[in-house]
Formats: sequence, structure tokens, C-alpha cells
Amino acid sequence: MRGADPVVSIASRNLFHDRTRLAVSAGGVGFAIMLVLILAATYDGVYRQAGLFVENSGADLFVGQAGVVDTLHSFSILPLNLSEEIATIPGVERVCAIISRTVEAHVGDSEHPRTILVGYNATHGTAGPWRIVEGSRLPGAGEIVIDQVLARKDGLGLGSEVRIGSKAFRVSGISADSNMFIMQYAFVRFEDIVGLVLPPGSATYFLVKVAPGADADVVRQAIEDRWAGVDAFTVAEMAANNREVISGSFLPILLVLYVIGFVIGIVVIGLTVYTATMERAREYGVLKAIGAGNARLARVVLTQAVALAVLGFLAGLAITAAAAAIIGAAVPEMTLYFAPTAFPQVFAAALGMSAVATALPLGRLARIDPASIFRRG
Amino acid sequence: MIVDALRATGVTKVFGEGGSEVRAVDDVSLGLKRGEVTLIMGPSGSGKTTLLFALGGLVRPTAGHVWIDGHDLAALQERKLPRVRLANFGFVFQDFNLLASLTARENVQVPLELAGVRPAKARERAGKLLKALGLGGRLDFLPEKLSGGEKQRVSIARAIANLPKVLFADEPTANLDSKLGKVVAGLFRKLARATGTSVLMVSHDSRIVDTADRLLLMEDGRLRAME
Repeated sequence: MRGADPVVSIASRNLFHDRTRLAVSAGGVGFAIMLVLILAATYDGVYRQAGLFVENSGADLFVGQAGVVDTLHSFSILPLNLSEEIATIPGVERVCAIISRTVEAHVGDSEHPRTILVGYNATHGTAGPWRIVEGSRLPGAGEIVIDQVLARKDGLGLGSEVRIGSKAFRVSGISADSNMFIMQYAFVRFEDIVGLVLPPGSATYFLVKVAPGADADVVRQAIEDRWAGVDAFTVAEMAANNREVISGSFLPILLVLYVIGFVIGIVVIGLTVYTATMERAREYGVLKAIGAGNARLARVVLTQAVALAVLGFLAGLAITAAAAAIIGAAVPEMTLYFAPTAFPQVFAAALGMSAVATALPLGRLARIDPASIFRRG
Repeated sequence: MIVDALRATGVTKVFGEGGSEVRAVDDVSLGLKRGEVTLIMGPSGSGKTTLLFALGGLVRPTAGHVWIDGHDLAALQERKLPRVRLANFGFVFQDFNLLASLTARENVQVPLELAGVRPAKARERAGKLLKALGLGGRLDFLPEKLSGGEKQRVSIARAIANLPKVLFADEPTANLDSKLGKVVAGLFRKLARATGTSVLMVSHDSRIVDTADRLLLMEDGRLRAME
């Protein structure tokens, strides 16, 4: 008690008095923290991945069919010869037509119905895989670059065969950062899938590289003014649109799960602190009788709750680290991204849990009658 | 002129209402003089503990006034009562009511630190007080390691740590053997003489009658002097 507020010392001693209960409670809060952190990392992982293809495309503008605002859920189809006309717009340096479709990829007896197949012209320097962990970045004729998650799931390596529709491709490279939770990107030469996933003479997007010194917004406006049937987006806009799709799909579900995690944390802290308060009700009565006011005693409960939240947060970090390792090994398509801001936010949430959780014990504490500690006579 | 440390006038406490109304304390007026030991005796249910609650600011009287240090406890805001109790009163309980997670010395430090005494000074004063009560070898013992008499002495030290104007003791000898009971009652008398604290004891224990300066009898909520 040296140097500390005696009432706060009582709080910490009460909390540490039953170490088994403390460990169970901190573990319970830790699991709630882990749930929130893993959910946040899952969301942040998918959110981040959703824009990577566009951001690493090397283009300045994405041109698609009018009304198509993202590359994930919308389907764009444009005549391939439009590419040459776009190239005549002042300020355009280069135009690269790509085909991007969600297809079924067959590997042996298994199939992956949600593979995002990208056909591109490898010589243009746009739209290909942006991080290679094995093999070649540029697929040759009949070759395919697949994501490492797909490779791990099916035991594929360089030289393995992947079938798209009626055509077989040989794996020539393995890429990273091209996993989109339940979908993975795969990259082939444009001409290899002409007529396979789109009618001949068509493309899904045109990736425009703006000439040095030209203004991308001016070029975009010129393209949209000239063709009513197309929409053009800067890379930043298209990446944001893709992420918006993810937010719209995931966020409502995640919010429900966040609330569940938060409620679990509140219940565990609340019950622990309430039980500790009730066990010591008589002592709180003594403190009231000898002159401690409700505000002073509220600090006991708050101190216990905050201490439990901090311990629970630390336990949560340890549990999260273990869970992340297990998830990474067992479910490789689940890309977890722990944003640095997530930790202070979840810590603040843990403190918020403790504040809410004290409502019940604080109410009970306020009603403790100091006279009740006396024998009735 | 001798000024009362505490003065109560017309204190009445009624529980319930209508047919179930119980008048636990009925129009009691009482003054507690400095340095005086007052003992209230009476049968169970006579209202003596309720009177002690009312005088100690633990129960608000239905009617009447309790004056201490310029405050009328009967009219004082609820949130201000703890501060007045801390500054003016000490309480000794039948069951000692020490804080189980704190050592003997820390139990005595609590009211000192609540009153704003710096921790190091509070620790020093608590140690001196316990040594004066013969507990120098038990300073860092938890209550569970102390005997009944030692616990009661710690609770007395806690009660007098802030040099209260009035010390309330509710059956302070009930859990002690005859010899220890007399020792504890003797401590109250010495304290009253040495510090001018008024001591108000409520007890069934006739063995401590001779330690009191004034004997009062409580019956059916009313107080009268004993012959």
C-alpha cells in the first residue's frame, strides 16, 4: 500500500485474491479481444487486398462499360477495337486491353469456382502479377501465374497443370498478395483466353497509361465525353470502389460479430467485478461507515474493471497471435492484416467494455448501507 | 462551560408505516461530553443500536436533530455524511470488521489516508498507534492471523487514528473473553481521559459497567438514566 491510494490497493488485492478466477476472467476477456482483433484483421485483410490489383496495375485510368464501377462484382464488356481509338485521345501514352473474369479453375479432381482470371498483354507492363514468390512474372503462351494460396491448397508448383474451361495451362509463376479471401487471382496471356471466357474481339477493361505531364483527370473527362457507353476511373477511385464493395458486403456482418465480442467482454468483466464487489459488500460497508464516499468506492470498482480489461487485452494479444498462426496454416485463403491502428482501437474498446461493465456493480455499491455492518440489537 | 461533543434533541426513528409502524427510537435527547464514557444498556430490540446509527450519521432520523461540529446530521446531504463521519467519528464493531486483504497496519492507515494524510506519514502513525496498543509484533499480520483481542485492538486503533470527537462502539466486548473485555473497555476509558474523545458504548455486557462515567438504559425506544 506504500504510496498508493488505500482504496485502490484494496481493489487490486481483491482482484488478485482469487487468482484462478482472475485467470479465467482475463482469459474470457482475452477471447473476446481475440474475436474482435481477428475479425478486424480479416476485414482489414480483405479490404486491403480488394484494391491491390488495381493499385499495382501500373495504369493511371481504368476504362470500363458505362455503369461498371468496380472490378470485383460488376461485369464489363467492351469492343476490343475501342483500344485503338482511346489511344488517339490527347495525353494517352498507352492503352492495354485486359480480360478479367471470375471463372472455374480445375486442378486434378478439384475445382475453384471463384478464380479471378486476368488476361493481359505481358509486354505492356500493366495488369500483371505484382509480387512473384516463385518462377516467372510474365507467363508465356499456355502458361499461367497462380496465387500462392491456390498453390498451397492444391499442392501445385511450377509445371503443374491448371485447366480453365477446355484449355490447360502450365504453372510458370507463383504470386503473392493476389488472394482475395475466397477468390484468388490468376494471370495468363490475353490471347490465350480470347474466345475462352469472352467473345472474340472483346475485352473487359482498358488500362490507360497517361503521358508524362498530362493530367489524368483531363484525359478521363475526354474519354467519357467522347464515348457515352464507357466510364473511366482513376486508379485511386477504382481501388476505393472495390473496397467499397467489400465494406458493403462484410461490414454489416462484422459489426454484428464485433458487438457480440464486445458484449462477451462486458459480461465477463461485469460478472467478475460484480462478484468481487458482492463478496466484499461488508467491507465496502465498513469503508462507508468510516468515511469513504461513494465516489471513492466507485474507484475501487473502476480500478478492478480497468485492471481486468488491461489483463484481458494482454491475454487477448497472446491468444490472437496463436490463433493467427493456426488460421494461417489451416485456412491460407484467410488473409489477416493487423493494421497498427487496430491495437489502440481495440484497447480503447476494452477500456470501454470495463466502463460499461461497472454499471451494475457501481449501482449495487451505491446501495450498500453502511449501517448494515452493525449487529441489530 | 462544558461544551458537548455531540448533542441530539428529539431524535425519533420510525420504521414502516400504518399498522406495521415500529418506533425504534422515540424522542431521545442526549448530550455527549468530551472525555466522558457513556454506556447504553438495554434488552435486544430496545432500539439502542438504531440510536447509535442515528447519532453516528449512519441512519437519518425521522425527526429530531443530531449536532456535531456545527452540522445537523439529520439535515445534512447524503453525499456530505461520509466526510463528516470521517472527521468526527470512530467506529468499533462487535465483529471487528477489519479489511481482510489488508495487514493490521494497513487497516489503520485507511482512515488516515482517507482523511488526506500522506501515505508515509500514515504508515508511521499507524505503526506507532498499534505499538501503543501492544501490537508492535503484529504490524504486518493479516487479520486472519490475529487473535480476537488483537483484532479488536486493531479496530480500536483504526477508530481512533484520526482522533475522533466521538467514538461509537457497538458491543465491543461481545466476542472477547472476560479478561480481554475488561482490557478493551479500559482502553476506551484511557482514550477518553487522554484525548478528550467522547465514547458511546452500546452493550449487554454488565462486566464493563464500572468503566463508564454515565450509564443509560434503553427500553422501548426511550432512554433513561440508570440508578
